[in-house]
Amino acid sequence: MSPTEKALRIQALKAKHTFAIQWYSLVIAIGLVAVTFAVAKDVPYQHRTTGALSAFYLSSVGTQPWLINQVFPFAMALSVSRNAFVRATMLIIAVEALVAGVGLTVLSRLESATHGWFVHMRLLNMPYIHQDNAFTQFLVYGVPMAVVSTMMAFIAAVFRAFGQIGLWVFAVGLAVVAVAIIMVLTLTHSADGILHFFGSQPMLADLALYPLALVVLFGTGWALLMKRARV
Amino acid sequence: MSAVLVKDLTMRYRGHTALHGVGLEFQENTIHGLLGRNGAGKTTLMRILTGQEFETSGRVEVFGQAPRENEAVLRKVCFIRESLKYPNYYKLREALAAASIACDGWDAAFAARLVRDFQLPANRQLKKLSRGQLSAVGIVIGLASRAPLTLFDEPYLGLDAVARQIFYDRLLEDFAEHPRTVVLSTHLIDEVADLIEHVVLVDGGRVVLDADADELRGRAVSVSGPAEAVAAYADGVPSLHRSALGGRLRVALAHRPDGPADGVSVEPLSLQELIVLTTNQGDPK
Amino acid sequence: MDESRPLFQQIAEQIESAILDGSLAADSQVPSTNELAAFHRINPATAAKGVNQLVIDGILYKKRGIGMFVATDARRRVLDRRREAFGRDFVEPLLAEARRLGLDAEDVKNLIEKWGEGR
Repeated sequence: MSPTEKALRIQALKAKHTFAIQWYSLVIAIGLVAVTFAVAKDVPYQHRTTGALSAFYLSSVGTQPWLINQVFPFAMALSVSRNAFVRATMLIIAVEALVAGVGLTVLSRLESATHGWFVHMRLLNMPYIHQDNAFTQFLVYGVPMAVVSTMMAFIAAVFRAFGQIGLWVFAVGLAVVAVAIIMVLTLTHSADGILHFFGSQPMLADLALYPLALVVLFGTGWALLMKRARV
Repeated sequence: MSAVLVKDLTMRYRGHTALHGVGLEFQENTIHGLLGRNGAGKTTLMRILTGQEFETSGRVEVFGQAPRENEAVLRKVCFIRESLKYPNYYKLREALAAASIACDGWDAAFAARLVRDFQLPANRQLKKLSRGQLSAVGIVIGLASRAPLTLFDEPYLGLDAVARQIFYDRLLEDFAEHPRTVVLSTHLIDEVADLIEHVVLVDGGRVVLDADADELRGRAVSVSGPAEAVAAYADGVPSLHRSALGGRLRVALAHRPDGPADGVSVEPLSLQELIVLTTNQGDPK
Repeated sequence: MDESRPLFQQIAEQIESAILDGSLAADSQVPSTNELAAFHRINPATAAKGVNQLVIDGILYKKRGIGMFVATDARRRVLDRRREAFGRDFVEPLLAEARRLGLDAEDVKNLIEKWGEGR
């Protein structure tokens, strides 16, 4: 067995925790929302759009911190190298994004076909993310998954490398950068321009291309931190 | 052949030096004792040997190669640390499954036997096990891994005397059948004295003793008697310890003097006593 | 095991004692080093060293692929050696203590006769 394969099998050992949590929460979200609208019959159809899809992405935030702060030290005791662990995590993130893209696309088509799970709700197939093309739809669903995973992997690696103080510095740093950007935009009166720029871009660029840049950014930072990680 | 070769190894953390120019060699297919007080640098040394920590300077070779991120080397290594942490949600069977994936030489039947010996619950979350049971899980993994280089760092926190004896017995039995290089770091010297073939004593980040365990046994002696007679007898032999009471003197000597023991009594020192006396007994820096 | 003397020596002495008291007869097989190690809870290499010492001394001999056996004249050799060592190991310390107590060789002889009566 190659080192990467070993690391992959160890990371996937508790498949429920590594892969399935977001799917559980999606199923629960669909169920809850469908029941709600089945009961609340007086809600007009055009108001039956919910943001419950965010539960899918939000519920996956625990996976990478668990892998990096719990499974990684144990794997290193069993002499899995950092590089093998990182390669395996990359594969897992890619597979997760792939499965999210395909799965959510299929479910959103199913949602249309069943007239919103028979209650005219819109949970997956929301107007502002709908793509007619199945492939672009796949990207719109899949890329954000990769963003969440790599961002959480990066944050977990910051904690691994620098501990609580590292997280604190990272959070404060993020806030400072955000405030700085807003100030610059406000002072230069360019906020509208920026909004206009993103508004004028194709939906695909906003939802898949620019997020992909975040994946590269966080992913690089994470991989660099993991190379020096101690356990 | 040597499984581990270390030359002039120094490890500096911010503000303190954990290892000062350490040099040592662990022969293959031997049980080595890495002894020393808490904080002496044993764990740091083992973390460097297993690629978990990066040395500041010096040469480190495990099976002839640098261990750092070296998959060819690491696949031959298993390192059971003191208070090894298991992932949340893991039960015993998942920990053993992970070990069976990672360790090429894993023996599932042997692992199952050890689990029975230590009476470990298979279906309880590892988080809920007692300290001693967790230590036993580490021991099961370390032994059943049959890794060509297996390191145990104080592996028995919370284990009672019976369980520790089970560990020693199984280690010896399995070692006899499947020789491999074992490094056992411990401060329970008297318990492991008969198990180990080679002793390295680390104190304050330095190797202060590196010898064949059986040769050490009985080499050092304690000489007591009238102060003058003891001084005359012990003249020229390095003394490890000295205490006086009235006109009597007792000294611990690194080896037995050549001359005749006139009017003094000479008693051999056990490995434990020798090591306690060799170790700096002041406050560690 | 005695913590203050090399274990390999103690292993060798125990085998010698078994040869002396007849529990290991000439040309009978000696326990393997692994058996010795497990029984005494010591490192197999140390047990092997003790056995090998006896091979060098001609007390045991090796049959390739089978194991170690007691030499035909092993008992004789062990006896000779023990008798040789008796003076150094027992008589010399006895006399040293006697001197400290102001007993001369004659006193010691008398004591030996007195304590040896009826044995």
